Amino acid sequence: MSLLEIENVSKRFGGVQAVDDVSLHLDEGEILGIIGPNGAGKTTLFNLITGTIRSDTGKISLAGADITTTSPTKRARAGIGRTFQVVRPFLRMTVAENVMVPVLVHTHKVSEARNKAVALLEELGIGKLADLDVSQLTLAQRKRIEVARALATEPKVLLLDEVLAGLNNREVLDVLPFVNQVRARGISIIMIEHLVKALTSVSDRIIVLDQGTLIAQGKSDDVLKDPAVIKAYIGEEDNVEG
Amino acid sequence: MKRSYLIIGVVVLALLAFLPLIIGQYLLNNAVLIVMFVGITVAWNIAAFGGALSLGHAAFFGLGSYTMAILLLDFGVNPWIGMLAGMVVAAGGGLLLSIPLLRLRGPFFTLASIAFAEVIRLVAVYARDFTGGSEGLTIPYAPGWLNMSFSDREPYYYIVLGLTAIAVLVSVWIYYSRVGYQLRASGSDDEATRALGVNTAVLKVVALVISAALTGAFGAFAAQYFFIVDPETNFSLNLYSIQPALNGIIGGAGTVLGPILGAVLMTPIGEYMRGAFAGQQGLNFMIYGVVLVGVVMLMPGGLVSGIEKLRARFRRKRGAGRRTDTTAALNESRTEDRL
Repeated sequence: MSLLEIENVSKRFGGVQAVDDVSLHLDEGEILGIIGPNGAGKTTLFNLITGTIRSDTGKISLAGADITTTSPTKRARAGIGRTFQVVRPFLRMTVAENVMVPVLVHTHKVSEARNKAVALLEELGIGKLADLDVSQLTLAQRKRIEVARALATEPKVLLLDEVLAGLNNREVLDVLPFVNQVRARGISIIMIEHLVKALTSVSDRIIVLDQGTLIAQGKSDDVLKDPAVIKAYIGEEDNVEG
Repeated sequence: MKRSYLIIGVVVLALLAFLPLIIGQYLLNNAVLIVMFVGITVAWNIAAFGGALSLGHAAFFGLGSYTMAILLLDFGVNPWIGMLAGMVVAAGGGLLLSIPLLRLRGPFFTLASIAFAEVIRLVAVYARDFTGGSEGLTIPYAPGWLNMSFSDREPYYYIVLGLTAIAVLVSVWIYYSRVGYQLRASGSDDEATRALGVNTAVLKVVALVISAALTGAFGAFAAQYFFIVDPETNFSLNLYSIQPALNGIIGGAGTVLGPILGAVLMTPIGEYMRGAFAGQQGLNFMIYGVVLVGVVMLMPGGLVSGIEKLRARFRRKRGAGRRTDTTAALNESRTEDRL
Protein backbone atom coordinates (compact mmCIF):
# COMPACT_ATOMS: atom_id res chain seq x y z
CA MET A 1 0.00 0.00 0.00
CA SER A 2 1.28 3.44 -0.89
CA LEU A 3 1.63 6.23 1.62
CA LEU A 4 -0.54 8.62 -0.38
CA GLU A 5 -3.19 7.39 -2.82
CA ILE A 6 -5.14 9.62 -5.15
CA GLU A 7 -7.89 7.90 -7.13
CA ASN A 8 -9.83 9.47 -10.00
CA VAL A 9 -9.81 12.98 -8.54
CA SER A 10 -11.43 15.81 -10.54
CA LYS A 11 -12.05 19.51 -9.97
CA ARG A 12 -13.95 21.94 -12.16
CA PHE A 13 -13.92 25.74 -11.77
CA GLY A 14 -16.87 27.05 -13.79
CA GLY A 15 -16.03 26.21 -17.39
CA VAL A 16 -12.50 25.04 -16.69
CA GLN A 17 -11.74 21.43 -15.88
CA ALA A 18 -8.68 22.19 -13.72
CA VAL A 19 -8.01 18.58 -12.72
CA ASP A 20 -9.55 15.78 -14.76
CA ASP A 21 -9.73 12.24 -13.38
CA VAL A 22 -6.18 12.11 -12.02
CA SER A 23 -4.90 9.06 -10.16
CA LEU A 24 -1.46 8.76 -8.64
CA HIS A 25 0.33 7.26 -5.70
CA LEU A 26 3.36 8.13 -3.62
CA ASP A 27 5.44 5.46 -1.92
CA GLU A 28 7.26 5.79 1.37
CA GLY A 29 10.58 7.64 0.98
CA GLU A 30 9.91 8.48 -2.64
CA ILE A 31 10.40 11.80 -4.43
CA LEU A 32 7.76 12.29 -7.10
CA GLY A 33 8.16 15.17 -9.55
CA ILE A 34 5.28 16.86 -11.32
CA ILE A 35 5.82 18.87 -14.48
CA GLY A 36 3.43 20.39 -16.95
CA PRO A 37 2.80 23.61 -18.87
CA ASN A 38 1.22 26.63 -17.17
CA GLY A 39 -2.39 25.99 -16.25
CA ALA A 40 -1.95 22.23 -16.29
CA GLY A 41 -3.56 21.94 -12.85
CA LYS A 42 -0.44 21.23 -10.81
CA THR A 43 -1.10 23.68 -7.99
CA THR A 44 -4.81 22.78 -8.02
CA LEU A 45 -3.79 19.16 -7.48
CA PHE A 46 -1.73 20.29 -4.46
CA ASN A 47 -4.69 22.24 -3.12
CA LEU A 48 -6.85 19.14 -3.47
CA ILE A 49 -4.30 17.06 -1.57
CA THR A 50 -3.99 19.62 1.26
CA GLY A 51 -7.76 20.17 1.38
CA THR A 52 -7.67 23.90 0.64
CA ILE A 53 -10.21 23.01 -2.05
CA ARG A 54 -12.45 19.97 -2.10
CA SER A 55 -12.43 17.58 -5.05
CA ASP A 56 -15.65 17.09 -7.04
CA THR A 57 -15.10 13.36 -7.40
CA GLY A 58 -12.60 10.71 -6.42
CA LYS A 59 -10.85 9.64 -3.27
CA ILE A 60 -7.67 10.69 -1.45
CA SER A 61 -6.15 8.57 1.29
CA LEU A 62 -3.10 8.94 3.50
CA ALA A 63 -1.53 5.81 5.00
CA GLY A 64 -4.75 3.91 4.36
CA ALA A 65 -7.07 6.48 5.96
CA ASP A 66 -9.61 8.24 3.75
CA ILE A 67 -9.01 12.01 3.98
CA THR A 68 -11.15 13.12 1.02
CA THR A 69 -13.43 15.33 3.12
CA THR A 70 -11.05 16.16 5.99
CA SER A 71 -10.28 19.85 6.73
CA PRO A 72 -6.87 21.33 5.79
CA THR A 73 -5.95 21.69 9.47
CA LYS A 74 -6.65 18.03 10.19
CA ARG A 75 -4.83 16.92 7.05
CA ALA A 76 -1.80 18.94 8.16
CA ARG A 77 -1.94 17.24 11.54
CA ALA A 78 -2.31 13.85 9.84
CA GLY A 79 1.00 14.48 8.08
CA ILE A 80 0.60 16.53 4.92
CA GLY A 81 2.93 19.52 4.82
CA ARG A 82 3.22 22.04 2.00
CA THR A 83 5.00 25.11 0.76
CA PHE A 84 3.37 27.76 -1.38
CA GLN A 85 4.39 28.76 -4.89
CA VAL A 86 4.63 32.38 -3.79
CA VAL A 87 6.37 32.35 -0.40
CA ARG A 88 4.05 33.27 2.43
CA PRO A 89 6.11 34.07 5.53
CA PHE A 90 4.36 35.40 8.62
CA LEU A 91 5.23 39.08 8.62
CA ARG A 92 6.40 41.04 11.65
CA MET A 93 7.70 37.82 13.14
CA THR A 94 11.26 36.48 13.29
CA VAL A 95 12.39 33.38 11.44
CA ALA A 96 12.37 31.33 14.65
CA GLU A 97 8.85 32.57 15.46
CA ASN A 98 7.70 31.57 11.97
CA VAL A 99 8.93 28.04 12.58
CA MET A 100 7.49 28.03 16.11
CA VAL A 101 3.94 28.36 14.78
CA PRO A 102 3.69 24.75 13.58
CA VAL A 103 5.86 23.46 16.44
CA LEU A 104 3.35 24.90 18.92
CA VAL A 105 0.64 22.60 17.56
CA HIS A 106 2.14 19.72 19.51
CA THR A 107 4.53 21.46 21.91
CA HIS A 108 2.50 23.59 24.28
CA LYS A 109 5.33 25.34 26.12
CA VAL A 110 6.56 28.43 24.27
CA SER A 111 10.21 28.23 25.44
CA GLU A 112 10.39 24.56 24.49
CA ALA A 113 8.86 25.28 21.08
CA ARG A 114 11.43 28.00 20.52
CA ASN A 115 14.28 25.62 21.30
CA LYS A 116 12.84 23.04 18.91
CA ALA A 117 12.42 25.63 16.16
CA VAL A 118 16.00 26.89 16.55
CA ALA A 119 17.29 23.31 16.65
CA LEU A 120 15.49 22.54 13.39
CA LEU A 121 16.90 25.67 11.75
CA GLU A 122 20.39 24.68 12.87
CA GLU A 123 19.98 21.15 11.54
CA LEU A 124 19.07 22.64 8.20
CA GLY A 125 22.13 24.89 8.31
CA ILE A 126 20.22 28.16 8.62
CA GLY A 127 20.45 28.59 12.39
CA LYS A 128 22.02 32.04 12.18
CA LEU A 129 18.89 33.42 10.54
CA ALA A 130 16.78 32.54 13.61
CA ASP A 131 16.47 36.02 15.10
CA LEU A 132 16.11 37.99 11.88
CA ASP A 133 12.78 39.45 10.87
CA VAL A 134 11.47 37.63 7.79
CA SER A 135 11.26 40.94 5.92
CA GLN A 136 15.08 41.12 5.99
CA LEU A 137 15.57 37.85 4.11
CA THR A 138 16.47 37.23 0.47
CA LEU A 139 14.10 35.17 -1.67
CA ALA A 140 16.37 32.11 -1.46
CA GLN A 141 16.35 32.38 2.32
CA ARG A 142 12.59 32.82 2.43
CA LYS A 143 12.17 29.68 0.31
CA ARG A 144 14.22 27.71 2.80
CA ILE A 145 12.26 29.15 5.74
CA GLU A 146 9.10 28.05 3.97
CA VAL A 147 10.47 24.50 3.74
CA ALA A 148 11.68 24.61 7.34
CA ARG A 149 8.25 25.74 8.50
CA ALA A 150 6.54 22.92 6.63
CA LEU A 151 9.07 20.44 8.05
CA ALA A 152 8.28 21.61 11.57
CA THR A 153 4.81 20.08 11.20
CA GLU A 154 6.64 16.73 11.12
CA PRO A 155 4.94 15.67 7.88
CA LYS A 156 4.86 12.23 6.33
CA VAL A 157 4.35 13.80 2.90
CA LEU A 158 5.78 17.16 1.90
CA LEU A 159 4.37 19.02 -1.10
CA LEU A 160 6.89 21.47 -2.56
CA ASP A 161 5.32 23.97 -4.95
CA GLU A 162 8.08 25.46 -7.10
CA VAL A 163 10.64 26.01 -4.38
CA LEU A 164 13.21 26.74 -7.08
CA ALA A 165 11.16 29.29 -9.03
CA GLY A 166 12.61 32.79 -9.03
CA LEU A 167 16.04 31.66 -7.91
CA ASN A 168 19.20 32.13 -9.97
CA ASN A 169 21.38 29.17 -10.94
CA ARG A 170 23.60 29.43 -7.91
CA GLU A 171 20.68 29.66 -5.55
CA VAL A 172 19.12 26.59 -7.21
CA LEU A 173 22.28 24.63 -6.48
CA ASP A 174 22.01 25.90 -2.92
CA VAL A 175 18.40 24.91 -2.34
CA LEU A 176 18.38 21.64 -4.30
CA PRO A 177 20.49 19.65 -1.78
CA PHE A 178 17.89 20.79 0.74
CA VAL A 179 15.40 18.45 -0.94
CA ASN A 180 17.61 15.43 -0.42
CA GLN A 181 18.22 16.56 3.14
CA VAL A 182 14.46 16.47 3.64
CA ARG A 183 14.22 12.98 2.18
CA ALA A 184 17.00 11.86 4.51
CA ARG A 185 14.63 12.67 7.39
CA GLY A 186 12.33 9.93 6.11
CA ILE A 187 9.83 12.24 4.45
CA SER A 188 8.22 11.47 1.09
CA ILE A 189 8.02 14.38 -1.32
CA ILE A 190 5.91 15.51 -4.22
CA MET A 191 7.41 18.49 -5.97
CA ILE A 192 6.18 20.76 -8.73
CA GLU A 193 8.94 22.38 -10.73
CA HIS A 194 9.38 24.14 -14.03
CA LEU A 195 13.11 23.48 -14.13
CA VAL A 196 12.93 20.00 -15.66
CA LYS A 197 16.65 19.35 -15.33
CA ALA A 198 16.72 20.21 -11.64
CA LEU A 199 13.60 18.15 -11.04
CA THR A 200 14.86 15.02 -12.80
CA SER A 201 18.12 15.18 -10.86
CA VAL A 202 16.32 14.60 -7.54
CA SER A 203 13.10 12.75 -8.47
CA ASP A 204 12.66 8.98 -8.46
CA ARG A 205 9.66 9.21 -10.74
CA ILE A 206 7.92 11.90 -12.76
CA ILE A 207 4.35 12.55 -13.82
CA VAL A 208 3.26 15.02 -16.48
CA LEU A 209 0.00 16.97 -16.33
CA ASP A 210 -1.53 18.80 -19.26
CA GLN A 211 -4.87 20.62 -19.13
CA GLY A 212 -5.83 18.77 -16.00
CA THR A 213 -5.11 15.25 -17.21
CA LEU A 214 -2.20 13.01 -16.39
CA ILE A 215 -0.57 12.31 -19.75
CA ALA A 216 2.56 10.38 -18.75
CA GLN A 217 4.34 8.90 -15.78
CA GLY A 218 7.44 6.85 -15.04
CA LYS A 219 11.21 7.23 -14.97
CA SER A 220 12.30 10.68 -16.09
CA ASP A 221 14.19 9.57 -19.23
CA ASP A 222 11.23 7.60 -20.56
CA VAL A 223 8.73 10.31 -19.72
CA LEU A 224 10.66 13.08 -21.44
CA LYS A 225 10.82 11.01 -24.67
CA ASP A 226 7.08 10.34 -24.62
CA PRO A 227 5.48 11.85 -27.75
CA ALA A 228 2.46 13.04 -25.73
CA VAL A 229 4.74 15.03 -23.43
CA ILE A 230 6.66 16.57 -26.31
CA LYS A 231 3.35 17.48 -27.91
CA ALA A 232 2.12 19.17 -24.72
CA TYR A 233 5.26 21.28 -24.44
CA ILE A 234 6.10 22.22 -28.03
CA GLY A 235 3.05 21.24 -30.06
CA GLU A 236 2.63 18.65 -32.84
CA GLU A 237 5.23 18.04 -35.49
CA ASP A 238 3.15 19.26 -38.42
CA ASN A 239 2.34 22.41 -36.41
CA VAL A 240 6.02 23.15 -36.22
CA GLU A 241 6.33 22.79 -39.97
CA GLY A 242 3.19 24.80 -40.68
CA MET B 1 11.84 40.96 26.42
CA LYS B 2 8.81 39.87 28.42
CA ARG B 3 10.51 40.64 31.74
CA SER B 4 11.57 44.12 30.64
CA TYR B 5 7.94 44.81 29.71
CA LEU B 6 6.91 43.80 33.23
CA ILE B 7 9.46 46.10 34.88
CA ILE B 8 8.53 49.06 32.66
CA GLY B 9 4.86 48.34 33.32
CA VAL B 10 5.25 48.32 37.09
CA VAL B 11 7.29 51.57 37.02
CA VAL B 12 4.75 53.33 34.78
CA LEU B 13 1.88 52.09 36.93
CA ALA B 14 3.59 53.32 40.12
CA LEU B 15 4.17 56.77 38.57
CA LEU B 16 0.57 56.94 37.37
CA ALA B 17 -0.67 56.07 40.84
CA PHE B 18 0.78 59.38 42.09
CA LEU B 19 -0.82 61.43 39.32
CA PRO B 20 -3.96 62.51 41.28
CA LEU B 21 -1.70 64.15 43.91
CA ILE B 22 -0.30 66.49 41.25
CA ILE B 23 -3.18 67.41 38.96
CA GLY B 24 -6.58 68.93 39.66
CA GLN B 25 -10.09 67.55 39.20
CA TYR B 26 -10.51 68.86 35.65
CA LEU B 27 -7.27 67.33 34.42
CA LEU B 28 -8.05 64.19 36.36
CA ASN B 29 -11.20 63.82 34.26
CA ASN B 30 -8.95 63.86 31.19
CA ALA B 31 -6.65 61.31 32.81
CA VAL B 32 -9.61 58.99 33.46
CA LEU B 33 -10.68 59.28 29.83
CA ILE B 34 -7.16 58.69 28.49
CA VAL B 35 -6.61 55.67 30.70
CA MET B 36 -10.06 54.31 29.78
CA PHE B 37 -9.34 54.69 26.06
CA VAL B 38 -5.96 53.03 26.48
CA GLY B 39 -7.82 50.10 28.03
CA ILE B 40 -10.52 49.97 25.36
CA THR B 41 -7.94 50.20 22.58
CA VAL B 42 -5.78 47.48 24.11
CA ALA B 43 -8.88 45.27 24.43
CA TRP B 44 -9.85 45.99 20.81
CA ASN B 45 -6.32 45.14 19.73
CA ILE B 46 -6.48 41.61 21.15
CA ALA B 47 -8.90 40.72 18.34
CA ALA B 48 -6.58 42.56 15.93
CA PHE B 49 -3.71 40.18 16.80
CA GLY B 50 -5.56 37.67 14.64
CA GLY B 51 -6.21 40.23 11.90
CA ALA B 52 -9.81 41.06 12.86
CA LEU B 53 -10.33 44.82 12.44
CA SER B 54 -13.67 45.27 14.19
CA LEU B 55 -15.77 48.41 14.08
CA GLY B 56 -18.39 46.81 16.32
CA HIS B 57 -16.78 47.08 19.73
CA ALA B 58 -19.29 49.72 20.81
CA ALA B 59 -21.69 46.79 21.08
CA PHE B 60 -19.55 45.15 23.75
CA PHE B 61 -19.04 48.46 25.54
CA GLY B 62 -22.78 49.14 25.59
CA LEU B 63 -23.64 45.59 26.61
CA GLY B 64 -21.32 46.02 29.60
CA SER B 65 -22.96 49.34 30.53
CA TYR B 66 -26.54 48.14 30.16
CA THR B 67 -26.01 44.79 31.88
CA MET B 68 -24.60 46.49 34.94
CA ALA B 69 -27.24 49.24 34.96
CA ILE B 70 -30.23 46.91 34.45
CA LEU B 71 -29.01 44.45 37.07
CA LEU B 72 -28.54 47.32 39.52
CA LEU B 73 -31.82 49.12 38.86
CA ASP B 74 -34.18 46.17 38.35
CA PHE B 75 -32.61 43.53 40.56
CA GLY B 76 -30.47 45.49 43.03
CA VAL B 77 -27.33 43.60 42.03
CA ASN B 78 -24.07 45.07 43.33
CA PRO B 79 -22.22 47.04 40.56
CA TRP B 80 -19.02 45.03 40.99
CA ILE B 81 -20.92 41.83 40.32
CA GLY B 82 -22.79 43.71 37.61
CA MET B 83 -19.46 44.50 35.98
CA LEU B 84 -18.54 40.81 35.91
CA ALA B 85 -21.98 40.00 34.51
CA GLY B 86 -21.43 42.74 31.91
CA MET B 87 -18.20 41.05 30.87
CA VAL B 88 -20.02 37.73 30.49
CA VAL B 89 -22.80 39.29 28.39
CA ALA B 90 -20.24 41.16 26.27
CA ALA B 91 -18.36 37.87 25.80
CA GLY B 92 -21.64 36.39 24.57
CA GLY B 93 -21.84 39.26 22.10
CA GLY B 94 -18.29 38.39 21.03
CA LEU B 95 -19.43 34.83 20.40
CA LEU B 96 -22.22 36.18 18.21
CA LEU B 97 -19.83 38.39 16.22
CA SER B 98 -17.64 35.30 15.71
CA ILE B 99 -20.19 33.99 13.19
CA PRO B 100 -19.36 36.71 10.60
CA LEU B 101 -15.70 36.67 11.74
CA LEU B 102 -15.28 33.08 10.60
CA ARG B 103 -17.20 33.55 7.36
CA LEU B 104 -16.07 36.95 6.08
CA ARG B 105 -12.63 38.27 5.25
CA GLY B 106 -11.00 41.62 5.94
CA PRO B 107 -13.18 44.62 5.09
CA PHE B 108 -16.30 42.45 4.77
CA PHE B 109 -16.02 41.42 8.41
CA THR B 110 -15.41 45.07 9.36
CA LEU B 111 -18.66 46.09 7.63
CA ALA B 112 -20.57 43.25 9.27
CA SER B 113 -19.25 44.32 12.67
CA ILE B 114 -20.66 47.84 12.17
CA ALA B 115 -24.05 46.34 11.34
CA PHE B 116 -23.83 44.08 14.39
CA ALA B 117 -23.26 47.00 16.77
CA GLU B 118 -26.01 49.00 15.09
CA VAL B 119 -28.55 46.18 15.53
CA ILE B 120 -27.72 45.88 19.22
CA ARG B 121 -28.02 49.66 19.65
CA LEU B 122 -31.47 49.55 18.06
CA VAL B 123 -32.48 46.74 20.42
CA ALA B 124 -31.51 49.04 23.29
CA VAL B 125 -33.66 51.82 21.81
CA TYR B 126 -36.74 49.65 21.33
CA ALA B 127 -36.61 47.35 24.40
CA ARG B 128 -37.99 50.27 26.39
CA ASP B 129 -39.17 48.26 29.39
CA PHE B 130 -35.63 47.20 30.24
CA THR B 131 -33.49 49.91 28.76
CA GLY B 132 -35.55 53.05 29.15
CA GLY B 133 -35.48 53.58 25.37
CA SER B 134 -33.68 56.60 23.93
CA GLU B 135 -33.62 58.40 27.29
CA GLY B 136 -31.65 55.57 28.79
CA LEU B 137 -31.10 54.77 32.45
CA THR B 138 -29.78 56.87 35.33
CA ILE B 139 -27.50 55.31 37.92
CA PRO B 140 -28.47 56.40 41.46
CA TYR B 141 -25.87 58.40 43.38
CA ALA B 142 -24.91 56.33 46.43
CA PRO B 143 -21.28 57.01 47.30
CA GLY B 144 -19.07 54.24 48.62
CA TRP B 145 -16.61 51.62 47.38
CA LEU B 146 -19.26 48.91 47.63
CA ASN B 147 -21.45 50.80 45.14
CA MET B 148 -18.56 51.85 42.85
CA SER B 149 -19.89 55.36 43.17
CA PHE B 150 -17.95 58.41 44.41
CA SER B 151 -18.15 62.18 44.70
CA ASP B 152 -14.46 62.66 43.82
CA ARG B 153 -12.70 61.49 40.68
CA GLU B 154 -9.70 59.87 42.41
CA PRO B 155 -11.35 56.50 43.14
CA TYR B 156 -12.64 56.28 39.57
CA TYR B 157 -9.15 56.99 38.33
CA TYR B 158 -7.73 54.14 40.41
CA ILE B 159 -10.46 51.74 39.28
CA VAL B 160 -9.95 52.50 35.60
CA LEU B 161 -6.17 52.34 36.05
CA GLY B 162 -6.58 48.87 37.55
CA LEU B 163 -8.89 47.72 34.74
CA THR B 164 -6.49 49.04 32.10
CA ALA B 165 -3.53 47.39 33.82
CA ILE B 166 -5.43 44.09 33.67
CA ALA B 167 -6.23 44.63 29.97
CA VAL B 168 -2.56 45.37 29.18
CA LEU B 169 -1.44 42.34 31.20
CA VAL B 170 -3.87 40.07 29.36
CA SER B 171 -2.76 41.53 26.03
CA VAL B 172 0.96 41.01 26.74
CA TRP B 173 0.31 37.53 28.08
CA ILE B 174 -1.63 36.52 24.99
CA TYR B 175 0.92 38.10 22.63
CA TYR B 176 3.74 35.95 23.99
CA SER B 177 1.69 32.81 24.53
CA ARG B 178 1.17 29.79 22.29
CA VAL B 179 -2.19 31.23 21.26
CA GLY B 180 -0.56 34.58 20.51
CA TYR B 181 2.07 33.27 18.10
CA GLN B 182 -0.49 31.24 16.19
CA LEU B 183 -2.97 34.10 16.27
CA ARG B 184 -0.42 36.55 14.85
CA ALA B 185 0.49 34.01 12.16
CA SER B 186 -3.19 33.72 11.28
CA GLY B 187 -3.46 37.50 11.17
CA SER B 188 -0.61 37.58 8.66
CA ASP B 189 -1.78 34.64 6.51
CA ASP B 190 -4.69 32.53 7.66
CA GLU B 191 -4.55 29.92 4.91
CA ALA B 192 -0.82 29.30 5.38
CA THR B 193 -1.38 28.95 9.14
CA ARG B 194 -4.13 26.37 8.65
CA ALA B 195 -1.88 24.46 6.25
CA LEU B 196 0.53 24.06 9.18
CA GLY B 197 -2.10 22.25 11.25
CA VAL B 198 -3.22 25.20 13.36
CA ASN B 199 -6.95 25.40 14.07
CA THR B 200 -7.19 29.15 13.51
CA ALA B 201 -10.99 29.34 13.86
CA VAL B 202 -10.86 28.47 17.57
CA LEU B 203 -8.05 30.97 18.18
CA LYS B 204 -9.88 33.82 16.47
CA VAL B 205 -13.07 33.16 18.44
CA VAL B 206 -11.17 33.00 21.73
CA ALA B 207 -9.39 36.29 20.96
CA LEU B 208 -12.63 38.06 20.02
CA VAL B 209 -14.44 36.79 23.12
CA ILE B 210 -11.63 37.95 25.45
CA SER B 211 -11.49 41.29 23.62
CA ALA B 212 -15.28 41.68 23.99
CA ALA B 213 -15.31 40.77 27.69
CA LEU B 214 -12.61 43.33 28.53
CA THR B 215 -14.42 46.00 26.52
CA GLY B 216 -17.59 45.18 28.48
CA ALA B 217 -15.78 45.84 31.76
CA PHE B 218 -14.96 49.37 30.58
CA GLY B 219 -18.58 49.82 29.54
CA ALA B 220 -19.72 48.97 33.08
CA PHE B 221 -17.12 51.34 34.51
CA ALA B 222 -18.30 54.16 32.25
CA ALA B 223 -21.90 53.66 33.41
CA GLN B 224 -20.79 54.35 36.98
CA TYR B 225 -18.47 57.19 36.02
CA PHE B 226 -20.99 59.13 33.91
CA PHE B 227 -24.05 58.10 36.01
CA ILE B 228 -26.03 57.62 32.83
CA VAL B 229 -26.48 54.92 30.20
CA ASP B 230 -28.16 55.71 26.88
CA PRO B 231 -28.05 54.16 23.40
CA GLU B 232 -26.54 57.19 21.63
CA THR B 233 -23.59 57.41 24.01
CA ASN B 234 -22.94 53.88 25.21
CA PHE B 235 -23.39 52.27 21.79
CA SER B 236 -21.73 55.23 20.03
CA LEU B 237 -20.08 54.14 16.77
CA ASN B 238 -17.81 57.20 16.93
CA LEU B 239 -16.66 56.90 20.51
CA TYR B 240 -16.37 53.19 21.16
CA SER B 241 -16.03 51.53 17.73
CA ILE B 242 -14.14 53.95 15.51
CA GLN B 243 -12.05 55.62 18.20
CA PRO B 244 -10.37 52.48 19.57
CA ALA B 245 -9.83 51.21 16.00
CA LEU B 246 -8.23 54.53 14.98
CA ASN B 247 -6.07 54.63 18.11
CA GLY B 248 -4.95 51.09 17.40
CA ILE B 249 -4.23 51.66 13.72
CA ILE B 250 -2.38 54.93 14.35
CA GLY B 251 -0.26 53.33 17.08
CA GLY B 252 0.21 50.05 15.24
CA ALA B 253 -2.53 47.41 15.22
CA GLY B 254 -1.47 43.95 16.30
CA THR B 255 1.51 45.16 18.36
CA VAL B 256 1.62 45.38 22.16
CA LEU B 257 2.76 48.99 22.51
CA GLY B 258 1.00 50.49 19.48
CA PRO B 259 -2.53 50.75 20.89
CA ILE B 260 -1.23 52.25 24.14
CA LEU B 261 0.76 54.91 22.27
CA GLY B 262 -2.13 55.58 19.90
CA ALA B 263 -4.67 56.10 22.68
CA VAL B 264 -2.35 58.25 24.80
CA LEU B 265 -1.67 60.47 21.80
CA MET B 266 -5.09 60.67 20.18
CA THR B 267 -7.45 60.97 23.18
CA PRO B 268 -6.11 64.35 24.39
CA ILE B 269 -6.00 65.65 20.79
CA GLY B 270 -9.65 64.67 20.34
CA GLU B 271 -10.65 66.17 23.67
CA TYR B 272 -8.73 69.39 23.05
CA MET B 273 -10.16 69.91 19.60
CA ARG B 274 -13.70 69.21 20.72
CA GLY B 275 -13.30 72.13 23.12
CA ALA B 276 -11.23 74.41 20.89
CA PHE B 277 -13.51 74.15 17.85
CA ALA B 278 -16.82 73.96 19.68
CA GLY B 279 -18.06 76.88 17.56
CA GLN B 280 -17.27 75.28 14.19
CA GLN B 281 -19.16 72.03 14.19
CA GLY B 282 -17.26 69.18 12.55
CA LEU B 283 -13.94 71.04 12.22
CA ASN B 284 -12.44 68.88 14.97
CA PHE B 285 -13.27 65.75 12.96
CA MET B 286 -11.70 67.27 9.87
CA ILE B 287 -8.42 68.01 11.62
CA TYR B 288 -8.54 64.57 13.20
CA GLY B 289 -9.00 63.07 9.75
CA VAL B 290 -5.99 64.96 8.38
CA VAL B 291 -3.84 63.66 11.26
CA LEU B 292 -5.04 60.12 10.54
CA VAL B 293 -4.31 60.33 6.81
CA GLY B 294 -0.90 61.83 7.55
CA VAL B 295 0.12 59.09 9.97
CA VAL B 296 -1.16 56.30 7.73
CA MET B 297 0.70 57.72 4.72
CA LEU B 298 3.97 58.40 6.54
CA MET B 299 3.94 55.28 8.70
CA PRO B 300 1.76 52.58 7.16
CA GLY B 301 2.44 50.18 10.04
CA GLY B 302 1.55 52.78 12.69
CA LEU B 303 3.73 54.74 15.10
CA VAL B 304 5.48 51.64 16.47
CA SER B 305 6.80 50.51 13.10
CA GLY B 306 7.60 54.11 12.16
CA ILE B 307 9.72 54.52 15.29
CA GLU B 308 11.40 51.18 14.65
CA LYS B 309 12.32 52.24 11.11
CA LEU B 310 13.74 55.53 12.38
CA ARG B 311 15.77 53.67 14.99
CA ALA B 312 17.09 51.26 12.39
CA ARG B 313 18.14 54.17 10.17
CA PHE B 314 19.80 55.89 13.10
CA ARG B 315 21.66 52.72 14.03
CA ARG B 316 22.86 52.24 10.46
CA LYS B 317 24.27 55.77 10.40
CA ARG B 318 26.00 55.38 13.75
CA GLY B 319 27.28 51.89 13.09
CA ALA B 320 28.85 52.65 9.69
CA GLY B 321 32.22 51.51 11.05
CA ARG B 322 31.14 48.63 13.24
CA ARG B 323 28.16 46.61 12.18
CA THR B 324 25.54 45.49 14.62
CA ASP B 325 25.01 41.77 15.12
CA THR B 326 21.88 41.68 13.01
CA THR B 327 23.28 43.35 9.93
CA ALA B 328 26.47 41.33 10.22
CA ALA B 329 24.54 38.06 10.32
CA LEU B 330 22.40 39.25 7.47
CA ASN B 331 25.31 40.27 5.29
CA GLU B 332 27.15 37.08 6.06
CA SER B 333 24.18 34.97 5.06
CA ARG B 334 23.62 37.06 1.93
CA THR B 335 27.24 36.58 0.87
CA GLU B 336 26.86 32.89 1.46
CA ASP B 337 23.85 32.82 -0.82
CA ARG B 338 25.83 34.40 -3.56
CA LEU B 339 28.68 31.89 -3.27
